[in-house]
Amino acid sequence: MKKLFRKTKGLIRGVPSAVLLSAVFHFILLSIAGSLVVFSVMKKEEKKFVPPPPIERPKMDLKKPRVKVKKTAKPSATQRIVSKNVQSMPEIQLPEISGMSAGLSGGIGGFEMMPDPAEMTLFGGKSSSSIGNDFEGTFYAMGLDRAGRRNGMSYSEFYRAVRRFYESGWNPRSFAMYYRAPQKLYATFFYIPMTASEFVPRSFGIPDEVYSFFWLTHYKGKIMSKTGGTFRFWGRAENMMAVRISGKEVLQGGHIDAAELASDWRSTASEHRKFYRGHGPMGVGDWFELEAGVPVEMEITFGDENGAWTQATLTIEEKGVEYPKNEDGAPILPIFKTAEIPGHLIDEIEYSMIEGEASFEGPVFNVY
Amino acid sequence: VKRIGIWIGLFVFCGLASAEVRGWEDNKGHRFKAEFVQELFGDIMLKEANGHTRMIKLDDLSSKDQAYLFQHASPTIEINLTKTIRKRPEMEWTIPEDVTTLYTCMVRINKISELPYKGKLTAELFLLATEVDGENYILIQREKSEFVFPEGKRSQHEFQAKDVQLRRYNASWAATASRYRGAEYFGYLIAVSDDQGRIISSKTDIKDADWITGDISTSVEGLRKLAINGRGSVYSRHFDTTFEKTEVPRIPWHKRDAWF
Repeated sequence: MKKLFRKTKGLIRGVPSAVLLSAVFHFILLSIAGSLVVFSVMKKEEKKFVPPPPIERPKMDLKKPRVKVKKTAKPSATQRIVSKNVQSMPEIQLPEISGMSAGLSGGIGGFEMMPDPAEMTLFGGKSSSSIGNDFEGTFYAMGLDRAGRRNGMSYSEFYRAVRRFYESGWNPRSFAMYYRAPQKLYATFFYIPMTASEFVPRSFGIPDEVYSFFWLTHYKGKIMSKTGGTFRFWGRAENMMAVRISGKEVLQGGHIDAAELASDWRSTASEHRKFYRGHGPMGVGDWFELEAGVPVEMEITFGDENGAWTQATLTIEEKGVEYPKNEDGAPILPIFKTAEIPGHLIDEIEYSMIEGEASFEGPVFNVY
Repeated sequence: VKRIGIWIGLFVFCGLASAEVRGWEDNKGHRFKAEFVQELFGDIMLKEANGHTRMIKLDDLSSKDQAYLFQHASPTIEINLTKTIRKRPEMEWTIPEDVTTLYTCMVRINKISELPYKGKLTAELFLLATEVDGENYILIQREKSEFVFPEGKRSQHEFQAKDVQLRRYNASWAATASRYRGAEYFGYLIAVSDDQGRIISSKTDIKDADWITGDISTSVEGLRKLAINGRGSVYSRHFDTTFEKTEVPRIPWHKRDAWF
């Protein structure tokens, strides 16, 4: 071995060439392999887009939007005024101006204004007035339950319900099972000449289509006589009317049968049911005292069943005062009031009342 | 809902109300005296003191004269009224033969002349009825709308009048000559006035009633007085053919003997 080592001493002859050849060979191989790889990458075919299989989606029925339209027979009183340029500015429309005829009752900037007397109806205004002293009226649709559904009310049950109310001390809770209109009305007199029964629920905001076969209103307020004296009411209503002063029933002025069904009150006046107003005889109430300058509570109910015509008229007589007489021989008594009756309502009353039934003049029983 | 037609009225009335002789100047500085007659297809017709008429383009007038025209040359307008009629439903508690009809009127006033008009205009709508139980008339509604046409060649003003209702019913309990009472539709009258109070256009659907359609100015004046002097109620606005206020038909006293 040592011999051999000594003989070859350093590199073996021919080895560098082989190494070089081998390197060149491997380089060529690597280059070919590399180019093949690059080529195959470059030549990689573009993937064709294959649409995905359709996905089954659960179908949902589109519901038609439903808009509840409140059917109110009395349309809005808003006046709509629009000015617009038709040709040159077709897209521009000036803002609408409304409430042109709303009067002062519309209010300004959140401040409550005085109610417009022109807005007053025979059944009262929609907001309390500081003019005079008004009675707050509540409307009960007694043919409906408190949710507004028909309750199968009958004539006999109607009068029983009204009797229960009177016997409860005119406690509104006895009407808790019936529909009560959210709208209150504020009246300063009670003189509704013969008119359509449906006008009353309508004035309390009850739509025409709502069952209004049986209804009753209950007004509460205070009255005062400046001079004091002894007074009594004369009233006529279709079908029901009752008046209470300081918690005491002093008049039933509705139909004779209706009054007897609803109450045990009986008149002692000789004039009771003797004279007519509208097409029925008036009830004449009990005398009651009013101390000068002392306010007292007063309540009035009037109602109707069976629709068609209604009426609710209340006049007042002072003991010892002589009144002119009408063709029937009945005294022409002043309409009971706590404020002067607006002119437009006098016109309306005159159109439907028979001359000599009542006078628009007379004392005002306001509390100030 | 029943819609009864659209009446269209077209009144070429432009400028007549504003006629006055005044000095004019064109944009070349020529001055002359003339009165404005009317606008015709965008040109201005002027009548000179010698009676000759001349047409001049608006742009050829001085800016001062243009401003005068915009303020004083009443526009040509077209009045449309759409009337919607509804009847109140009859329910089982309704009085037999008691019919209440609601009327809603929408008034549209179109300026069809090209000349701009910047003056204030007033539109008045009068709705009239006849007495069912008498021979007179009732001013049911007077609606007033003041406006200025927006700038532009053609512009429009519209307003919706408050709903009104007319009731005709059988007052069987009242021994009147006519047991039917209430009011029935007679017609409408619309008048548009300029800021001087001159009626520049009117429109009505009333026919065969010369006492109201013969002299619109007099009729409008009479109706205005009724509205203003009334007490806010249709019952105080009954009137005759001379526009004088009349008493409402009353139910006469009669013997009653029903006992209930």
